[in-house]
Amino acid sequence: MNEQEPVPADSIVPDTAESQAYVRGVVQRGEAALPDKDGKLPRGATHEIVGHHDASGLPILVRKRMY
Amino acid sequence: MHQQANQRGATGNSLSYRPPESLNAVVMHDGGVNAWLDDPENGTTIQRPAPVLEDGNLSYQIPGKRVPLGFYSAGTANFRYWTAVEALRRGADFWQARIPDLQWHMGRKLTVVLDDGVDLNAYYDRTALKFFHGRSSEGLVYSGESPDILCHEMGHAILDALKPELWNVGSQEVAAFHESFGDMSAILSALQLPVMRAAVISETDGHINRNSRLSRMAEQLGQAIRESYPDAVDPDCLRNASNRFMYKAPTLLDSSGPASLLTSEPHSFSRVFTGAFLDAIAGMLLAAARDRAAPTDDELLQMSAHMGDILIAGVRNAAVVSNFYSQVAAGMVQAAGRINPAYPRPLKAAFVRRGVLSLHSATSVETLGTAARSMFGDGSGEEPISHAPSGIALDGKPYGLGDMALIVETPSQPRRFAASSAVNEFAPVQVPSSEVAARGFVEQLFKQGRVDLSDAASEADRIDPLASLKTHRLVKAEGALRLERILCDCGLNHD
Repeated sequence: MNEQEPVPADSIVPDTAESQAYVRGVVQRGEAALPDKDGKLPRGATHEIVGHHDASGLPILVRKRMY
Repeated sequence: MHQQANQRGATGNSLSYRPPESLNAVVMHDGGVNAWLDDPENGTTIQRPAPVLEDGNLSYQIPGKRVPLGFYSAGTANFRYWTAVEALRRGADFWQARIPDLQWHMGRKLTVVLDDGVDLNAYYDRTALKFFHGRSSEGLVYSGESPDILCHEMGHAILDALKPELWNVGSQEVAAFHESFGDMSAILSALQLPVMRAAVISETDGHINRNSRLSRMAEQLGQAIRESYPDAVDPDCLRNASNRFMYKAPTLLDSSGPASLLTSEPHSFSRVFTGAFLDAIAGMLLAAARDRAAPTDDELLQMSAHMGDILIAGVRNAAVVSNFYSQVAAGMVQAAGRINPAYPRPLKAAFVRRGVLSLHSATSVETLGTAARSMFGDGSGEEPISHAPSGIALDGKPYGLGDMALIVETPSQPRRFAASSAVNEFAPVQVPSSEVAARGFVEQLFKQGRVDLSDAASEADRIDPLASLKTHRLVKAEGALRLERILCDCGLNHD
């Protein structure tokens, strides 16, 4: 998915310095994941990857859980 | 395993606190349940009135067979069921008393899965609270039987119901606040138990920000995680609210690290706000106590209820912006003064000591709050901020306006307070660009003498040139001055 394609309305798009720092932290901690075939995220994941933000090279995320 | 736990104290030895008979919960012969007083690691069980799973707007449902009411032994599945219901009901009742019309994000009933498989964790996912079990050297650990963990996860659901726009904000500080709210929810819920209040007053000699069974979150789960990851959690629990962490801009911190370091990972960074919160309730208790040397159980109960109200007001009044901690803190200081004039001082001191509020913000927050009320209402939390006009209250002193605050329209999402955190005592953290822009705009107007101050400042305080084209004027609002444009200058005026 690039910047031209729609993403869910409540997604976190890394298009500012603050949101990029946030997404980078989620990715570095291994908390961002793709859902399995049943739509479930693995244990420990907090965010689902729903797209890719080309300009920043970071994924677009949707929050799914809070631990 | 849990029978053994029932004989151990926080240090693994004998019980660190044994409640006197007179302070114990009412001993019931029927219609009650056995429950943990706090984390299972502390090993103290109490008897409590039968909790009601479905009650009001904050009801719960637990899938599976309903467990009959009864006094079950610790270490059994039936005990875990009722200790969970007791903690969840107690926590929800605390928040429901503050916000009677509050309803879970997904509706009236929140699903609770008490054991969803193997994991040393628990989470809230907008559909349910889910708890797990895992192995430690002492046996199985069930996250769903720790009141600390239950009320932390329930706290996420409360905050999500109260301020759903926080859920998906791409901000480290907002995410950390969600975690802090969970821990604050656990602390306030614990204080609703008479035995717990007596225990923490006794253990801390009335200084409840000292390390205690109240400040230590989830000792048992922390111990289990520590066995595999020694530096992942605090030495004596999962997270300890009695800590010394100071505010740092989270964008400048590492994204993860050992528990001894502050990182931008939400649970780690949450410890700054939670630490300030524990300091605040300790200071507020002493400030309100009839005898500062011996605060009472009743005074602690009343203070906890007040702090719940103050926290709710702070959250409701905080704009969702990157410096969310300072926005909530400023709103809490404002609300505290309306509840008890003795509260703002220790509350501000706690936030300033941690750098959550800069010195400048703390000293001006009440003035700014007066201005905020003139913009947004009385600040009681009844007015949702999302529909408020776009404006910000600035300290009027630098512009010669004395204690009057200056209300300036900005293109940003509205903030109620020009409050900021601090990197050290004298250096506020750089505020987001919309505020910088507003300040810069106002400063430029004043430097160039474009603001008509004739009705707003004394002659001695005025610094504006005598003869210059005025593009703006100050209009008195309730306790503040609103900056209004008179005309658009074409920019050719050089006087």
